[in-house]
Amino acid sequence: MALSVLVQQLISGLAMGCIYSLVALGYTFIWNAVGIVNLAQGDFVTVAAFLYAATFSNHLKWGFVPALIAVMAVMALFGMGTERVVYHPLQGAHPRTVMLSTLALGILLSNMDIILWGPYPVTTRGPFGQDIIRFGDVSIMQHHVFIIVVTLVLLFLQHLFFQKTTIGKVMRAVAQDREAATLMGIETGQTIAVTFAYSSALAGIAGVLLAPAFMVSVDLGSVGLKGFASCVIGGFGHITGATFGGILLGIAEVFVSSFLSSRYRDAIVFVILVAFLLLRPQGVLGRKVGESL
Amino acid sequence: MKDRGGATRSLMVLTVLFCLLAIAPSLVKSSYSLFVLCLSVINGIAVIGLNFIFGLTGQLHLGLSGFLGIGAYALALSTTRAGLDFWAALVISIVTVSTFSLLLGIPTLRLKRYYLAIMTIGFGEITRSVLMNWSSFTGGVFGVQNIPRPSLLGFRFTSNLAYYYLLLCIAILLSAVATRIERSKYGRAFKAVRDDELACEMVGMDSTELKVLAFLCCGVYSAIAGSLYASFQQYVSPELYTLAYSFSFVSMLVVGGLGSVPGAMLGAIVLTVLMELLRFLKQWYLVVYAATIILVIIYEPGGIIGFLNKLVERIGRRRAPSLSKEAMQHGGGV
Repeated sequence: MALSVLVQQLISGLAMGCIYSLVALGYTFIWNAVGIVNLAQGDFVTVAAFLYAATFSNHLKWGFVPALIAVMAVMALFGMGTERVVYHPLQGAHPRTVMLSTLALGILLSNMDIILWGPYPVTTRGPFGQDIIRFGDVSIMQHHVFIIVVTLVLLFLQHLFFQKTTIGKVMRAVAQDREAATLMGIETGQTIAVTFAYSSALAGIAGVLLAPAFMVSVDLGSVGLKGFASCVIGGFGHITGATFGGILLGIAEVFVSSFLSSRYRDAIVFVILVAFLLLRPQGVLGRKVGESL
Repeated sequence: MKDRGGATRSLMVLTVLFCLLAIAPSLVKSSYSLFVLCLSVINGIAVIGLNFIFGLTGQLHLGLSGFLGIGAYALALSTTRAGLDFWAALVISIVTVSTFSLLLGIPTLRLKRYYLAIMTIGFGEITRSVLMNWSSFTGGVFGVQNIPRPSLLGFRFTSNLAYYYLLLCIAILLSAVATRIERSKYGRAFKAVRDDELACEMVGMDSTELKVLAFLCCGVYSAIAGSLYASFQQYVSPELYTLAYSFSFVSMLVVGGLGSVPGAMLGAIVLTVLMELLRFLKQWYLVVYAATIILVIIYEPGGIIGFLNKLVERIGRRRAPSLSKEAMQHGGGV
């Protein structure tokens, strides 16, 4: 394979990896705060992608930045609503009960998508459309570079948020030890609502970034599985791990599907996931999880 | 100690249910109603299977569509391509699904936490994509046609009425087996894993082995349900086997009552009939369906059986004020 093709593949893998990282982070924050896997995370991404592509971009003709902010705001509110409906009333219940209600929410959302935005895939131009940058014989989609840049900026802001702001510190405290946090006078309930809002906003960003690169349809929900795979690869519940796992998976997926068949892209991800569960369930960065409940 | 009152009550519900199902064809007139009845019983078998891993052992299995799909295709392909007899093909179907359940269950169930939920979602989706894309073997989007109906001692179950009674016999047999398993030491061990996995290991039980065993039971029942479905429709195609399909079985179990064989059967009948009644809602129907499930989980986590139990206890309490605490707890929840 020529070097130029290799570089192109690497960039597009990196871009997809960034999306997976965002989804994976969404899982991680909710997991750390309340110990459940939000099975509707992938459908949140789809809702955000439709919201951006069909409503804000194609219908209302908003620019990229206002549309991104609007989608994030809607998704954050939506996340809080989710916490109220599927998590809050079930606090005393077993985590599997809560997960089941998140799955029901996911099914509900994927059908609402079709009702609201129709059964046909929606395309949108995004800030760069199909524009390409050329460096010698390497040609790269501008949108891919954009995805990478936005994700890097976001990760930096997120780091500042968790290290410097009070609400960020409070969220970390709740994730570390909920009871102790409550005893220290932290409003755990509110913090959990904020965590849901933040995770959904992350899904919102992922959806907005994904929309111009693909046709927007309910099938986008499969990024939910990819995001989960990223979490497992990086080490479940590990924030750096989720980011790292996403990028690793994005790159692996692009290379494997260019060597083998792209038809079984999702199946390849699944095989990688099984391999990790068998050989290294704690992920690349995580500590041993097999024994802890 | 075992709760004898609950056990006899569950046997009673099951008997009444099957008696009603046995006379149901004479009560309904249209062939469409008979079709729905057949579907209810097939779904019931699948839900009883799901009850092993989800109801009894407490592991969230969201890929039943994968099991049912592989089971249906194993039967479809070995009858139409290899020309096997239905019963021989059924054995092949059971072996195939069991193998897949071990391949998926062993790496996943070895770990605690909730890996199974996502792994089974992935498994279901990949099964559908393989059934769809591996056209040379599975027939792709066109599916497999002309799947034969079974015959027994020279009698061929071609009419839906005859097939319905065959289904009913198989369902009664499988319910009896499931009830036996539930009350055996394995059934009690499954429940122990559900209630406290750590405590189980403390007393020397191998929780991984138990979970895999429950998963295998689920696989066997799913293979039978999938095969019966394929032979009933005489046609299978991949687009049926979606996540929403898996979700519908989980819903049946939750609505009927988790951990209870009559609950599984009851939930399957109620929701299969409801699904047919709600068809006119088109796209809205899964929305209504999913919203209903969220409400059931929040307000009536014991399902119909849990509700009936509460009702019986309330009446009983009025008659005899002192009731054992144990009986009150029967009915469980999600």
